[in-house]
Amino acid sequence: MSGQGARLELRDLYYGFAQDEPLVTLDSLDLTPGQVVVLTGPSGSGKTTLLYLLSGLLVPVGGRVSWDGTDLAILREGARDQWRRQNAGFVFQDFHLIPQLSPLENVLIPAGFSAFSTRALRTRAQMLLTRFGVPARRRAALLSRGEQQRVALARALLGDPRVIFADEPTASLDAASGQVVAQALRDLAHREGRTVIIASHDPTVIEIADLGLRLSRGRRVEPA
Amino acid sequence: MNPLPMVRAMLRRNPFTAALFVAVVALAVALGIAISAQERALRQGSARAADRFDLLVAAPGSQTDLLFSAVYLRPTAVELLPGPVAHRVLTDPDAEFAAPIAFGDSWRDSPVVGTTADFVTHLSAGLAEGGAFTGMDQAVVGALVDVPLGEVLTIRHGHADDVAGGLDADSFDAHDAHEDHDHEHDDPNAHGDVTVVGRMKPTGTPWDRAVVVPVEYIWFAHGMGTGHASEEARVGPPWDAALMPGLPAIVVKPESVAAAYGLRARYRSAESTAFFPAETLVELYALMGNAARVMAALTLAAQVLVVAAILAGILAVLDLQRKSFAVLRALGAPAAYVFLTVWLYVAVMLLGGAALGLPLGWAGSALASGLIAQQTGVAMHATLGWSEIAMAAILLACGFVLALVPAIRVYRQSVVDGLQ
Repeated sequence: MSGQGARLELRDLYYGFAQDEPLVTLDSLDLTPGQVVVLTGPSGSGKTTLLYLLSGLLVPVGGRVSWDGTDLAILREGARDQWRRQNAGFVFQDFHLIPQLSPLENVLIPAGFSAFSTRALRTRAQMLLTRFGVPARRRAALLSRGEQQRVALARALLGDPRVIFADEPTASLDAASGQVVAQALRDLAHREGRTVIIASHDPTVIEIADLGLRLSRGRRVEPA
Repeated sequence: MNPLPMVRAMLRRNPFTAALFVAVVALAVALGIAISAQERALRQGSARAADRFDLLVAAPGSQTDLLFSAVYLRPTAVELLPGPVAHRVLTDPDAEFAAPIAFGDSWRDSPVVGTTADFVTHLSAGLAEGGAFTGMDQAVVGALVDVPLGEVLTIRHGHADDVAGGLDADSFDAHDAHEDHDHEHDDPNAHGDVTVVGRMKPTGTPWDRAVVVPVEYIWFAHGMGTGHASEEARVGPPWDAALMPGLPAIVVKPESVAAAYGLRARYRSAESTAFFPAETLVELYALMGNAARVMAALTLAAQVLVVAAILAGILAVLDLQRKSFAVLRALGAPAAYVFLTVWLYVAVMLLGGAALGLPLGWAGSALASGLIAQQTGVAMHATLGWSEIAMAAILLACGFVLALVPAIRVYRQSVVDGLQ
């Protein structure tokens, strides 16, 4: 399934507040589909900020964040929302599932962002839950943390995104669950050709990186 | 866009809070509905009760007191219309019929009213069982008086309240004070016994609780004769003009509309007054309406404050869910999606509250109607009308507008700030 991912061309990225030290500055970064990129660095180094800049949640003060020719830096908020909806999936450290809903309902939440009926994506949602070995009907609150993160992965994949952003996806998990999630992320890149960008300290995750980017005080310091 | 699953999840996340908000809105709506529905039920019930009392003629005095005494059988002290004037009214050719109304006595909790058999038939459109009274010792009871035909009732002087509480509202008291009248029983308050010979159909008026006797019984019991020559044992008109005792009130059914106004003009004099009960009711309704409007405005203001207070609570609840909304935005939800989610969340609770409040208000009004009917005998039917629905709709509209506040707040929330 190689070729499903998106190509990133980042140039002269600058993000920060006037007269302060930049929070993130990066002269260039090129990613190709099927790559796993892991952003590392100590807390406060700018990993999450860079993730938000790459996903269009934050807009850089200067520079270009171009995904397959679409520069997120110049898009309005609504267009960036739409880009994320159509191209990106997000996985968070704390999963952020809705505990009152079932895994299936959680996975289907993004389907309601642009259409009233979720029927068309129901089969896909069930297939994703089966793939990650999570029961579809139990209340999300009753799942183990590893299962919850896999539901979050399924939710991120519902729209068949070309880019996956993951912010410390294994930080709340035990080693075994972290391993499962890390492998799943690697498979999304290597088997399905998606572009996967992960901010993490976890050696298990760092191990799967095709490209490491170590940050310190918002700047690239060395490969991870 | 389909925010309904999120709305459902939000409601389920804090079910107690949501239920509390719904209950408070329901109570606020119910209060307004109950007041409005009750006011209408009271108007309709009291108007219906006065329906068959076209024109009242009485001694000069408060029309409201007369209305309450003759129509609603509430104990008030009224002057007696002098006998000769009463005879003139009762035999007026412009009247299709005229009936005396004499009150001031009671049997247990039921007022005893003296009148004619024809008026009983007029009031209840025929009898449910038995026949009309034909002698002074006979009575017809209202539909709600729980005694069988043939029962002998001992009538007491004054109203039940008067006997118990020592009040003195009997029209005939002044006359009694000058009479050395021997009552027939050891009980100084007891009059002669009467036998129940008939039962009226339900009228939805306080007369349903009354014991109706020939007017001659009341006159005689109060030592005023019977209006007939002493050798005559009959009851009902015609009465002897020279022997005619005084009367608290006379109900007149005029021959025509023109006759009604003629009669009213004719008997508005130094020795009598005449009025249409409907006119007096309209004045009372105007007063009641003003009070009701003030209450309705205060209620609406209170309701809007309730909704505003609820929204303040909702803002606090939503603050706890900031991160969830930020996550939705990160997942690609348009700002309009979270806006709509929050707005619908509030709107659903308001709608639920209003939907519960309408029947709750109606139930409250029905309960109040029952209690008032029990006390007054005026049948009232609490109904939900357009005004109540409009009241709920206005509250909802205000609530929907106020619901924009938390929706806009979440709409404008920074995604990144929410995620941190």
